Amino acid sequence: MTDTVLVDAANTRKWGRYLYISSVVLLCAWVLVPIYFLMVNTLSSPETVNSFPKTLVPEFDLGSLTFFAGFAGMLTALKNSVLVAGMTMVMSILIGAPAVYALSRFEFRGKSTFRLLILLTRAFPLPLLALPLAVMFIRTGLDDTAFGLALVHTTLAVPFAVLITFSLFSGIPIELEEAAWTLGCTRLTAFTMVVLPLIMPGITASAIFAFVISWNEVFAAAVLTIENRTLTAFLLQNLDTSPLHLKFAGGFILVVPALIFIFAVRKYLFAMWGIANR
Amino acid sequence: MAEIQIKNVAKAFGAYQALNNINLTIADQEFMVLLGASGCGKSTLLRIIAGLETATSGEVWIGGKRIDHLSPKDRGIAMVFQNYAVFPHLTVFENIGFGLRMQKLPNAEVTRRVERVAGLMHIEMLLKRYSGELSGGQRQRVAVARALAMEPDVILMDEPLSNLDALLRMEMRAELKGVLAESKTTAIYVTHDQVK
Ligand SMILES: Nc1ncnc2c1ncn2[C@@H]1O[C@H](COP(=O)(O)OP(=O)(O)OP(=O)(O)O)[C@@H](O)[C@H]1O
Ligand SMILES: [Mg+2]
Repeated sequence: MTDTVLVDAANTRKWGRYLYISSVVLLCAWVLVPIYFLMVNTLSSPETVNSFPKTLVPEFDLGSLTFFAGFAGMLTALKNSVLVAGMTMVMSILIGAPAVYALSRFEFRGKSTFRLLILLTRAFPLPLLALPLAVMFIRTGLDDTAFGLALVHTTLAVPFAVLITFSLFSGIPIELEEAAWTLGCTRLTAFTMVVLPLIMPGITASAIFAFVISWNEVFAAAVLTIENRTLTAFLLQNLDTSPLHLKFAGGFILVVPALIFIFAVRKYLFAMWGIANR
Repeated sequence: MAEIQIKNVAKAFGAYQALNNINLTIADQEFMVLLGASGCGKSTLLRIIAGLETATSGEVWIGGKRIDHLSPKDRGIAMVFQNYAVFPHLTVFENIGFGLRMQKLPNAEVTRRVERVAGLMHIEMLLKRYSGELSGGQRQRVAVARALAMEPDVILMDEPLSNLDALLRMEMRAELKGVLAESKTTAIYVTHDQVK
């Protein structure tokens, strides 16, 4: 009697395990297989990419990538992407970090409203904002500039920068700063000697995250730039005219930095979502 | 000369009156023990003396000078925090030497003083470790050592030995008293440990 129950329980556990493993495999495949095909096709010659049947192993032929680099305007677009993402990164930290310090250290009226407002910037769909923004940008002369686009991307990235750094700031007890004050620090030196080293990893993480957000953003980039297209906007613009191997190479160039960066800062993203892994 | 005078100090947190007209004089070089129930305002009083909290009313004098308006670093005090506040990103050595580095003392002098106070607190073998690699009691002794290394006129200790076993605590307290008497430091020692 108890034996059968035990066996049943063991069976259930075994099936549960199979189910678990197969879901994990399925989910991983869901993400990894397209990326793998992207890689295979990028590292194959244009002829192979355009022919049938498709191969499953990369040839390590740089033909597609060379063609990509030689495509008119492509390298400028790549440069623009890096420029805009770099500016977004710097601006979202310069705006986000002080806001977070104030939020976590000082009591002021409207604090919770302010916090909500920061997150609310993500509630408006970009297409809704893009048109008035474009009009405004044209009036102020910010249209078709890297700086103008970086401003838009900064508003997209700041909420994330705030979310990530807020959890880190709040994790730093005020007593550490107070101890520094009693040991001869001013408010500023206490910040640079104690707080900054402790939050540096988090600041780096949100900076990288801001970079990725800007790097991947296509809608605002397509609407607000014409000559100075970023890579995403440029690829979108040439989607119907460009050959298959160019699309693959472009997609690959877009995916790789994002993947590497996200992988590098995954610990802090988990922190943002409240998953403790330490 | 570092006599501490507390005159009519009161502190309210919103509607809650934490301290009510405290008058207290601690003579120069005295080792004053503050004993009181949890939540009676001992930490608050120390924080007011240290300048981390402003009194709602009243005056604080140290060595014949009114210091209410000075920032913590200009008061000639060192403080041991109830929850240690050991810097997690620095080694024990750099923690203890933190205040000395801020004074820009030469390396040799920093090393000499750090090693001396680490010896007093029996943590000389932990100098290379980080705070995360210490036990609660060890962390607490780092906090005490850090304050001692400053060689201040006044040292404020908020339950500095509460996490040590009874035997070590007794030994350390006696040693601490000896050291502070020798360095002519005025000390306030907060505890709720009745066996004195
Ligand atoms: N920032 C604050 N805001 C509101 N109330 C506070 C604040 N800090 C302390 N209090 C209150 O003031 C009273 C005294 O606090 P304090 O920390 O000085 O107690 P304590 O004597 O050190 O207690 P313990 O022995 O438990 O450390 C407590 O009732 C506490 O709730
Ligand atoms: Mg206390």
